Amino acid sequence: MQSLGVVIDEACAAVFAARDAQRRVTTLRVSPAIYEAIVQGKARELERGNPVMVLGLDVVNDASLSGEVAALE
Amino acid sequence: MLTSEETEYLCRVGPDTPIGRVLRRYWIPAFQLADLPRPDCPPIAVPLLGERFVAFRDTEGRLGFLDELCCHRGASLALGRVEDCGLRCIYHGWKYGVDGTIQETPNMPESSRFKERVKHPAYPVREAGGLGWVYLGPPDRLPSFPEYHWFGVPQSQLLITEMILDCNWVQVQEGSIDSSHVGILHTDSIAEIREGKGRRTGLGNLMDGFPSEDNSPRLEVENTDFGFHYAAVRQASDGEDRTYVRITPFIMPFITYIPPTSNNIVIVVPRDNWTTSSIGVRVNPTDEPIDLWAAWRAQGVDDPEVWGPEPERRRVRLPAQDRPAMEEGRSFAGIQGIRMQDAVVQSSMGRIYDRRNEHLVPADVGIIRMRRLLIESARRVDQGEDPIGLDRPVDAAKIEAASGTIPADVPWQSLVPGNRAV
Ligand code: FES
Ligand SMILES: [Fe+2]
Repeated sequence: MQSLGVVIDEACAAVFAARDAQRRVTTLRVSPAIYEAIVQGKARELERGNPVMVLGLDVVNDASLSGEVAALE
Repeated sequence: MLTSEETEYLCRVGPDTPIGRVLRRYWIPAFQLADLPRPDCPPIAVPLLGERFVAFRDTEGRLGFLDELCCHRGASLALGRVEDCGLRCIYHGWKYGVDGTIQETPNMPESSRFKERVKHPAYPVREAGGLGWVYLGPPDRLPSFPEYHWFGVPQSQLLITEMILDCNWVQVQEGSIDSSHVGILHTDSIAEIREGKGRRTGLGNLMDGFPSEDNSPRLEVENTDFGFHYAAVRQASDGEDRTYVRITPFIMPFITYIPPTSNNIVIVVPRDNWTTSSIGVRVNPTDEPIDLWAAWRAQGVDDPEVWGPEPERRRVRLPAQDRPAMEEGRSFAGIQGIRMQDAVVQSSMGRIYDRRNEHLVPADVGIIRMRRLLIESARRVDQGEDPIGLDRPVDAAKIEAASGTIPADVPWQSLVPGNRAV
């Protein structure tokens, strides 16, 4: 099972690294499998018109990624 | 957030679950030694990780920790008689030694060799720091016994407060390592300490004066040999170039030391998937006598309607919020005492909080990291490896929490030299 728990921890570390480098980040890119898991989990919320967000970042489906990596921009 | 499957994966503790297998690899703080005060005293039922056990102290003072249900026909051995170096079932009189040896089976012919050939499940058990510690994992993986700093302290200088909550252990544990609620949920308690109000507990303070107005701390987390520790770094009230730091170690998988010092220990033990013991261990660093009532009041457990120290009254009956006090500006949360404030919000999430609905923020990094260590440990155990915290030797006595105001350019790690980063 791919773990959202792991992806979010990776993303959180990247957010802190960006903060230390005084780089502003707004977007979290994740693999299609992880994106699917987020969208499924948040289905009810998305139906209400909320955006797909994790850690305050917009989540983007990135087919070039696989596994539990998270890329910030 | 977590998916529903992952929430289940993280929260379930039975013997056939991934996290249940992880938890069984550690020494588990399972019960209070005060509940077995003398040889041949009554046995106690100990629900743990979704299973039922019985603990007893035999005639020679040795502890036994066995499966609760008699292996004849399943009556509870917690009803049993402790006598002649064993625990006797009151149903048909079968009698067990601390190591699970079946000593007597009165309703079976003398000639049977059953007793010599069958053993009742018994588990390693140790006494330390006011608690009974047990090991439920595979016998060939028994870890060395951790020697935490408070194990050397006489029982009279320990105050153990066990609150039993009707919710899953993970949300309670998440509360112990959550720094960003401290300045908000615990507003009243911090104000009391700052203003020097409240009776002295004799235990030092549960809180320092929290010399900062900054409720959005910068958090830094670092993995250590025992799990992780993290620092909440805030702008100090006393100057631009000074920071107020609170460092919290999380010792996989049950224990957190709550700053300001390592003398405030919170141990979270799953009784089953929906019932959790939150065990506070306060170490008295002085020879000042503990004022029990004041110490309970500071924690919010001084009302006998809500909680009592006896085993049958440890299950918390959540207090009603004091709305008038909130409206009149006398209280922020309307709940008295730090641990009761925690207990109320943790239970308010329901029995197992559905993490699909949460919106984590970077300030939740402690919670995020704890989940990851548990998930990674489950993967390791699945592959036949040791979980985090048991994969290398740890000097448990040196693990520490701290809090203090330091120059902004000094690394916070200098306040906790005993915590070894990995
Ligand atoms: S603000 Fe944190 S749970 Fe509501
Ligand atoms: Fe708290």
